[in-house]
Amino acid sequence: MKIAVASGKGGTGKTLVSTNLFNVIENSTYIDCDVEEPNGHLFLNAKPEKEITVSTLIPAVDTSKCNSCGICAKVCNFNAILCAKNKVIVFPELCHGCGSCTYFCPLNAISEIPREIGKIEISSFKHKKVYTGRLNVGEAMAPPLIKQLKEKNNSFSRIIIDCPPGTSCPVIESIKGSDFVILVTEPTPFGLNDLRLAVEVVKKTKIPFGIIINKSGLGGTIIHDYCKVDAIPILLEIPHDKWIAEAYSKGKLITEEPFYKTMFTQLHEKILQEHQK
Amino acid sequence: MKQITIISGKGGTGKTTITACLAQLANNYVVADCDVDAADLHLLLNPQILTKHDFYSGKGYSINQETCTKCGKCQEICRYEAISNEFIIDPISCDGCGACFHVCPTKAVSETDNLAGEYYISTTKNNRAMVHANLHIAEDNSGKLVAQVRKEAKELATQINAEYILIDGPPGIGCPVNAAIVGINQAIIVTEPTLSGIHDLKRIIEVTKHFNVPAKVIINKSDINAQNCETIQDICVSENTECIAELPYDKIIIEALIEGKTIIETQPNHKISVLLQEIWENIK
Amino acid sequence: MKIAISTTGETLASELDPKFGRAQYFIVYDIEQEKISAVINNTLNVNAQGGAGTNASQLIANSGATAVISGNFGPNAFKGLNAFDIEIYSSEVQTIKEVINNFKAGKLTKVSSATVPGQH
Repeated sequence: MKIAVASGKGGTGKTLVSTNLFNVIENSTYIDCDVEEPNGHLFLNAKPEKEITVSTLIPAVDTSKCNSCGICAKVCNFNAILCAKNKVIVFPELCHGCGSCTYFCPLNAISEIPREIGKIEISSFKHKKVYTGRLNVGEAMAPPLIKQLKEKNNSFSRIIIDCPPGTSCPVIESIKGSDFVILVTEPTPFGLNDLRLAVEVVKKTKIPFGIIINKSGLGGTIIHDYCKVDAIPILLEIPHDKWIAEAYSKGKLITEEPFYKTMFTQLHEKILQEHQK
Repeated sequence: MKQITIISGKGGTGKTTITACLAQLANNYVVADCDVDAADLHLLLNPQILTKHDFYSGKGYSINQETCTKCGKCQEICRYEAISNEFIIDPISCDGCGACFHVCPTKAVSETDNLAGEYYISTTKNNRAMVHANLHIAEDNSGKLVAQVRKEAKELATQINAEYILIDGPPGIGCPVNAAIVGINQAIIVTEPTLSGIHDLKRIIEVTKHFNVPAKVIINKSDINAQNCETIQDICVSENTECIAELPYDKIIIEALIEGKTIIETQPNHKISVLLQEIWENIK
Repeated sequence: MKIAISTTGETLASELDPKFGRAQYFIVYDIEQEKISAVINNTLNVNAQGGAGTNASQLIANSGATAVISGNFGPNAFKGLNAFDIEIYSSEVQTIKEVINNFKAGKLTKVSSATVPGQH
């Protein structure tokens, strides 16, 4: 079972939920898909084992074959290849790796070569594997990195995916192919507003989902009211407890405490039940 | 005209709440919500929309079932698995590369400008001009929409001769953040004393330096962890970035938020309101 | 020779647009004939998904201009213009007429590297 943990808004407790859920599920694997700001490793303090370089493909032009016909530049929707009088110039960071230029070149003068966009770090935590994707600074191509990060784990059965915040392509790429999605929110007007957006995203993927209210008790029942109207299951309410904030600030897993360990074990059972429905 | 952007690196540190407070302390400004992926500032500033504009970005594609011969060439060339066996293009998976459009032998694939979102020119409850936007789901070009929002805000500010443009920035360190801070006069980084907050603070300071933008730091929820506050202060010293305030956590901020208000409105004499007033005096 | 200038309008009285890639228009001015030879509408480029600088370089090369004047140039614009052997000059925001006079008087600075970081 693959469980993706997402939220429309940043800072609602996505990483808190995913790392602690990972901590209580035996034989599970943790994948940090928040490749711009991967923070899960800070809490897991996992032992580094291996690092893999991740690349996308960009065109390389064989100048001895090229006659500067300009077709490659014409078919590129991302302005990543320019054709001047006697040369063709590639702009690697604009390239989406769609392969159009290579395919349409009438002289077969273009081949594809790898370009590094980031890294996958593999580490271990309590004999379980942690996969962290890390996009190079200044890099814009998160989805290909996320895709490769997930492909590395396709064979594992219990997977927790920590998704990036927001509603754009990287989130959808992270959620895709999971069996269940958890949306973490907080009971404030900001939390509700961003939850609505996140629900819209998950509904497009048609994957079953439920909600966790973090900092419950903070601001009344607005999330409950919304979930009631839309018949969305509330999986768990994490109390608004200053102890959690303090533990989080120190990078401690709250499920090391028996009370929260039980809470998250029950959460896992509830997810399995919801998934059966 | 002074352009000030509030950013954070990590999400959920209180960027938007602080922007809304500053918007209530300042005079003669235009406010812009550049967190176009998950815009929240409108919840506190309650804007009345005056005009709505479509935002186009990239291309969208669809297949005409009448002229499609189901030869499969488009499926073969598409690297995003966006074309189903019924030859329907899934707009969510489609990256807009146009390979299918160019490869189709019967010209059954049509190309249109892709409507990626909207932006609005509005008046806030404080009777100030506001520009805000909504990026549609699964669109990945928020940097360009941020640039558009800033362009509109600047035009408005020039028209009304505004002294400030207050910009609520996006989280993260990616392309939308670049677009929200390039060419501004002052960046305000709102962080929190947690490990993730510290981790992301270092990365966002790097970004502001890259763009040659002067930055000042505010530690929000400072009473969560005193030791981490010290670490942040040390980072600020070594990075030569001034830390201008530590704001403690207080439930009344959330209580005000639930009413759609800021602490400046509900408790103008509270110590946090006073601190916010000092912050505004420092950066204005 | 022909020079291309990024502008917010279509006449000599219009102002220079300091953004190169996402400028509204480019006025192509013929120095010998002392008149505007073309106005390139660049608004399509404002809708480009990325790479506005590279695309604008192509448009300018197509116009036959051999020098370009704007405020700031990103890394992609710089690389693209160089590929077409187009000379790059930077100017303050002023009217196109003033920009042309300054260019003729040799008062504009030639740009030898990108002036702003890339913005996608």
